[in-house]
Amino acid sequence: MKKIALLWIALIFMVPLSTFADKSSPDAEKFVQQVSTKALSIVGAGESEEAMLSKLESLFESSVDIDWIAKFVLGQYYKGLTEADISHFKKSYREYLLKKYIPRFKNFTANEFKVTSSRSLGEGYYVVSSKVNDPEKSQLLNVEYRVKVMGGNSFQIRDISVEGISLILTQRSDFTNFLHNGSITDLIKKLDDRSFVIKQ
Amino acid sequence: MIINKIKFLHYIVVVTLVYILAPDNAMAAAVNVEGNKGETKDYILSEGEDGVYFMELKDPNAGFNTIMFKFNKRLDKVVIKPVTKVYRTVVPKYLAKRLFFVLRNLQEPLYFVNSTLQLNFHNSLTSVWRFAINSTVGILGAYDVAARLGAPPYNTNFEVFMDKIGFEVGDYLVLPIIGPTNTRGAVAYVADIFLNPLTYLFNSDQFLIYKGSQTIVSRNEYFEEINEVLYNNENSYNLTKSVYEQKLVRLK
Repeated sequence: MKKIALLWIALIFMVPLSTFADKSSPDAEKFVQQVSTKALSIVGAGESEEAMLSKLESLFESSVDIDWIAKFVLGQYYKGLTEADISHFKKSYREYLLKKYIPRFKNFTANEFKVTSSRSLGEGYYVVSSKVNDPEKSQLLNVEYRVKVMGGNSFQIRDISVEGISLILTQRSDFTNFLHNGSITDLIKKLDDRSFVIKQ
Repeated sequence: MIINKIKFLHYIVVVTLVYILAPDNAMAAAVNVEGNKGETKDYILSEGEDGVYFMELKDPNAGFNTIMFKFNKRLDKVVIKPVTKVYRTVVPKYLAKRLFFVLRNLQEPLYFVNSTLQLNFHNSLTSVWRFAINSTVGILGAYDVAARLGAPPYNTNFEVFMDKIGFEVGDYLVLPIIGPTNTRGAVAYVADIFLNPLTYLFNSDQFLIYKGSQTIVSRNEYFEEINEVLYNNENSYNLTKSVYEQKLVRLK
């Protein structure tokens, strides 16, 4: 009996720490850390809403591959669009993203975001994993950034997924479904309207 | 004799209801399908316009599924969401967090059984350790002490095992109250009922309370996200399917 108990205790203490053997990328990790630190400091600076938004917008501009994402979320409908439609869509989409996510972002503070690991997916893609402490949630959120090397040592964000739900896959599903029956003009209108939806 | 029969019937009805109300796969669960830690299938987003980067389930029963989905959405709108709203207003956040952890701790025995079936002994041991530590030092699971000691939470279910032994993922299926699943997932769902030690430990009333509170607690945990998926987009049926598929990919 004692032996069994000892065995259990031994087993319990044998829980190995997780080990990651994937090719990690310190550069990609640093990039994500820098972007989030910047974003958090902008949000935490306590400036006017307008000043904050414009700063975040320029950070967004420089770190997110919005051209590629806009193309991706439109799926097969991208091909049939005019230049004007595309640029109009991009503009609305960017505002939509900013207005949608910033209110939530405001709750975070710098010490509640931590890059934990990264791995290579090949083709210049890296996944940078992080833990975020969202005060609204019971547990730490797993947030993954998919970043791509853009020449030199610079990166751009192409996707963010929270607990396995990808922003761009989800939005592509939503948008392409809309475009199946509706027009791009309607979609843009929707995005403009929806930017101001106040969630309860 | 008759009383026994009535008791038995009552039990069947309650257990059925309980499982119907089960939250872990409930609508709540559009966002809460369980995946296996460490085996995420990666997608590479290539430059091409429309490569397939994720699993898209076939939906031959879209007619049935749509009706079930509407039913579930209505149920959420009329019952689950309002009750959760009251819960959010009445229960302080701190307490809600503790309750979330207590209920999650009770999942650990089922995770242990499933991980062992999958011959994933790392996870089995993690469950043993988590359950032992959190139930004691963590005060009935209210505090996730084990996570701080290096045994982070993970999820698994019988579908992972089915996948491992070669059952292919089935067609998309929306079940009343249970929510989005697939034909394989529905089988696994039933198997998990029988594999869960709690099924045998709790009597039917206790189990009903357990499952009911789990429904509200997980709806609360993902309150905004579920509202977003169900009420704030162009087509909640398709979006729910997409979210479910993304979660399912992580099973692989």
